Amino acid sequence: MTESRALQFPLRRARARAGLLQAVLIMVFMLVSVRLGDLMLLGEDANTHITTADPKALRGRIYDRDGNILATTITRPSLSVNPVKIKDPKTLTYKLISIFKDYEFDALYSKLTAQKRFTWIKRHLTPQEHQSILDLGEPCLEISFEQKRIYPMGELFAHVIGFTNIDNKGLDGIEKRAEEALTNGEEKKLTLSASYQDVIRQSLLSAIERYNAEGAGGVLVDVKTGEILSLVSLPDFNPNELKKSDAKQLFNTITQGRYEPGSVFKIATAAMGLESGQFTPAHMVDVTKPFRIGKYTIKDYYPSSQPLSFTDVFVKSSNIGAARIVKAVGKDYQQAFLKRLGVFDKIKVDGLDTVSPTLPKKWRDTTSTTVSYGYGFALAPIHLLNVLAPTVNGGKKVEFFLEKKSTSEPTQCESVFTERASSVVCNILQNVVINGSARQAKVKGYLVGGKTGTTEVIANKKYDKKNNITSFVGVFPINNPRYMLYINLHKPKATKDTYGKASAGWNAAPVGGEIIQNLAPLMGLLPLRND
Amino acid sequence: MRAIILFLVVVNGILGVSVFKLKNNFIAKQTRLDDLEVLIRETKEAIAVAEAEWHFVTSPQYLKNLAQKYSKLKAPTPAQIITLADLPPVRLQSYNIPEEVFEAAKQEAIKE
Repeated sequence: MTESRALQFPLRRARARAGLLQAVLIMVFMLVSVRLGDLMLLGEDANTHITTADPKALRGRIYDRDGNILATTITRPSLSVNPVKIKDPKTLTYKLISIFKDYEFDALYSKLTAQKRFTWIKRHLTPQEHQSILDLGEPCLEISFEQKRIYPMGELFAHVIGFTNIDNKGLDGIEKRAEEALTNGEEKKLTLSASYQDVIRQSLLSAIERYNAEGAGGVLVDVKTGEILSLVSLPDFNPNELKKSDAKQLFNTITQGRYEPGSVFKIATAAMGLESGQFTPAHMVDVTKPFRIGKYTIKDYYPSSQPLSFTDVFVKSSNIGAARIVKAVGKDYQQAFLKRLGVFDKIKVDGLDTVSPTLPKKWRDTTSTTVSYGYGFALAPIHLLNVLAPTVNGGKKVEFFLEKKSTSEPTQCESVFTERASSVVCNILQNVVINGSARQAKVKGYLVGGKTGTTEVIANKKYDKKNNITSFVGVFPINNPRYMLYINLHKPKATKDTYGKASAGWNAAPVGGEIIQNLAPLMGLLPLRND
Repeated sequence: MRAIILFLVVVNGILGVSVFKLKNNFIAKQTRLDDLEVLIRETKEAIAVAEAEWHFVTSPQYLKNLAQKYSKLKAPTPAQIITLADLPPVRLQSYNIPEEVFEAAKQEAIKE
């Protein structure tokens, strides 16, 4: 009895242990079952989801107003090597040199024998080069794929679009200004047109050749909306072959060059005279004697023996007349008026690097006089056009822009002077083209208004009388002003066809007329039936 | 107790085989997805190259050079541009278009 009692205790303990073990086993099986059921019925666990690496977004494209691609990104193979793994660098150098003709033996050999684990041989291979490398079958050569920015229109938009470096970082133009958006794959649609751009560029290229000029520039804007339709600066460069460009080619004269505007600025003086209420188009201005101010004497290029009407002061481009008008309205009024037009403020255009104007430190009487005919201060051509736009669009100050707006809402513009004064200015500009210095800008079938300007180039703080910058501001159709064109030529030379003259009326005006003649039909402007 | 354990072993066996098949299925689909993604990327790249080439060969400069080289086409002059209203009257009988229908269409086109 005592023995059986003694056995009962270990037996009970063994049963308890076996029960515990069974319970643990059941729990484990149940856990496994629950997990298996979960995997099978409720879908995969979020932590076990296999994701494929999302390739870096391609840099966004840039389009013109008609949807033409101005800048896009493609992927190109690049060749690199781990020099440590190369067994016979000399033989490999010979093989590679037969593919990359622009490499010199020593340069490539030193790359292949460098004490590095990685070195680029060539980035952005051409398809032929890529195939040749694959044909070599060298295991130490490595091909990786990279983004490459390309510009299908070549030079056409170079100064506006700008360019990127080999790592696709924007260094100039829209590429630089919209770096963040483009890097994130956003696309940009511009207000520029490839067709208009080509017309202006081709005409300016021919003009450079015809007048043996050093450079040229042109801008076309819609004065009602502020859209920049074309912007050309020559010489230009091909952003696809940036290494071939020099500093002069990379300089955008339209947005970054500062020039004295010369007589084209008389458009603003005309608007100011009319707006002051002191002048009407028929008002007579005495231009028969030189205008003296302090120690300076203002003369006209073509002196008149008779007083001129207010309109004819601008038709004949009289400096004396402009000086008398500003004297009558007063320098304070002139300063306030020019301030309203935005002469003193740096122009801001999204996507463009612009410069501040160079202004006189003190607004003296002499300053006031010289400014009336466009001397004594300097501003970028795009700034000049922005200042002059209200003089022809009904007195509205418009902001220029380059990126197409998504909404078709009309731009809110501040009125800076009366519509009536603007309408008279247009009439004067039409007279300048019909009878004045811009006669050669006449276009058969279209009503054009305009003004020419010839300024001497400043060299070593002195005016160089032999070299000019000639310019033309054209407005069309002048009966309902919509487009304003500015062009300039840098140091054009006199030719037989210009009878030995190199002033704007003989080179900038005919080029302006030629551009308008080619642009107007493209813009859908119907010619007048009876010219 | 044995019955419970046996039952759980059978259930786990079935579930295990199912999960194995599911995993295989998933891997096959994932591979297919990766292949498709590569194909899409390559196609997109090919399209990007084709589009860039297209905009190069249709750029005004390129077309003008071709036109000058192979044809006598020139840009239109303002004198060549006329409105619909300037067009000479069409011989309607040869097209069997009633005159009033033609006039209505013409007026509509002029309005546009």
